[in-house]
Amino acid sequence: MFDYLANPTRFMRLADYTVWPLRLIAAAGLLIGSWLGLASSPADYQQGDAVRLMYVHVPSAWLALSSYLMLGLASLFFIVWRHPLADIAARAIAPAGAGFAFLTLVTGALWGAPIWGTWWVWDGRLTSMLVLFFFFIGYLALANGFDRPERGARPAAILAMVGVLNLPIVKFSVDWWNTLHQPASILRSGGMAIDSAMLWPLFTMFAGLQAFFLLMVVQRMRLLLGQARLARLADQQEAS
Amino acid sequence: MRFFLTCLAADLRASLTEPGDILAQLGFFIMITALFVLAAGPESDRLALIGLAGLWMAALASMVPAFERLYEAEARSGWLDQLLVSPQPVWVFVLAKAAGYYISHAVPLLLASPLMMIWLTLPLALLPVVLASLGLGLAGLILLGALGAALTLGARRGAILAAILVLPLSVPLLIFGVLAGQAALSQAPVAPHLQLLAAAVLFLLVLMPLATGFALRTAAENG
Amino acid sequence: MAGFFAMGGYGAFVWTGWGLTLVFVLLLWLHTETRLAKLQSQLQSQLQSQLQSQAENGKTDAKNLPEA
Repeated sequence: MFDYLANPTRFMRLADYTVWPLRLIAAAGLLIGSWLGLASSPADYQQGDAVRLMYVHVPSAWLALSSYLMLGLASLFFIVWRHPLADIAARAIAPAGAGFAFLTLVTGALWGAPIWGTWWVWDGRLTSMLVLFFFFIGYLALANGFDRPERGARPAAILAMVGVLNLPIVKFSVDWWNTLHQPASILRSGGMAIDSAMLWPLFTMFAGLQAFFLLMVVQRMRLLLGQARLARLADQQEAS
Repeated sequence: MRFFLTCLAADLRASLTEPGDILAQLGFFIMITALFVLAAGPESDRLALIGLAGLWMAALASMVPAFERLYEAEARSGWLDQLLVSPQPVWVFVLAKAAGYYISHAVPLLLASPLMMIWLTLPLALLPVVLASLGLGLAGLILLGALGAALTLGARRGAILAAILVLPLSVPLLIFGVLAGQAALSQAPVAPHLQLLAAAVLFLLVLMPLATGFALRTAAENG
Repeated sequence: MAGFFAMGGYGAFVWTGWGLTLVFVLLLWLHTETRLAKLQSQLQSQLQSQLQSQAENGKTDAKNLPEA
């Protein structure tokens, strides 16, 4: 299957078919999810209406983490099979992933402010997400840090792979640090039991944001491929 | 092994005939520590609590900016290109270079750290733990720095870029290292933190030379 | 209706958080799609002008055709 998709022209043709379904799912998911999450779902008995931030916070966090793993996977493909499409995929994933990591931190702060009484807690999850955000920043800085963009492809891929391997260690060290410092325990341990009335808005927003993320990846890949093609055409014209 | 020693000797000779870098870095380390005390205030009971943090921050801040120049001489003289076409394994060179850098740049910091501990009003009974944790931590940091330097070879804004890549990856080293010192300060068991730190450094010792060697190859191929 | 916007006292937080998320999504979406549309029209005109100039020069051998 990868051999089949490895041809950029064939990939583009296949990508064309995914654009409209992704657009529709993203738009419908975000609209219906917003209605479900903001209007039709009940308020939490402990957190009141602040719980509605969960419907944007949790999917963002999931997308941030999974996009870093996708980044690492694309980088692996790029390093092992040296396929330019994998580099383009990685470059398409990174900005959206960084954006979602940032959104996770912001919505987390906005959720924490009324519920915990503080904008920021140095707990394991927040700190790990912050480091993940730094990883994205490093990747973007390195991938775009060279005069010729394609020169940054392999360094950035190496960095992403090292980052993926280091992520569990970072997570562990932050948790370790957290248990020893024990900030006044405002986070309820064990997580919260999610009522089924909250599952639907969560799931819908999840689907909407995931589709949006995939759409952004596909469209950015088309953009990057198109830019390369335009540059080639301009070269041809100069040469002829 | 022979190749390792040759590289190590060459690196040490180069950095010792040109000690300006080492002295500048040491001066940077001492200045940041002093300025940290000025920022934190001299009340000794409070200073001792955050002194370890200051020591580690000073060590990180003085090490990280210099990483960019790790392979500068070899890349400029064309030695690196020769190495890559030679049958010698690149990762051995990376390790030798890191070991040389450790001796020339990290050991002076370790030697200066007892003095810094006096400034930071840390009890000198902590010295063995601080030396062990800082010694291990700097080893891991240099291994990360080797990768950062190789990745940013030929990049714009190389120094700040290398720092941006290395610092997030150094989070575990910082956490385990500072916690070891804090455990000693509060008479808690130190060993778990040091073991975790050693494990993290060992992991980097395996992974980084390979990744760095690969990055150097990439840099040489693409000019 | 006022109750809906007040969100039980958490209105400021809930609306800022949701708003930022949706604004981020919308801006990134529009930005990407407009850039893509612009690029595609550029590609189209480039291809056309190249084909035209080739037709005028009578160079139609496969070597000079822009890749499809």
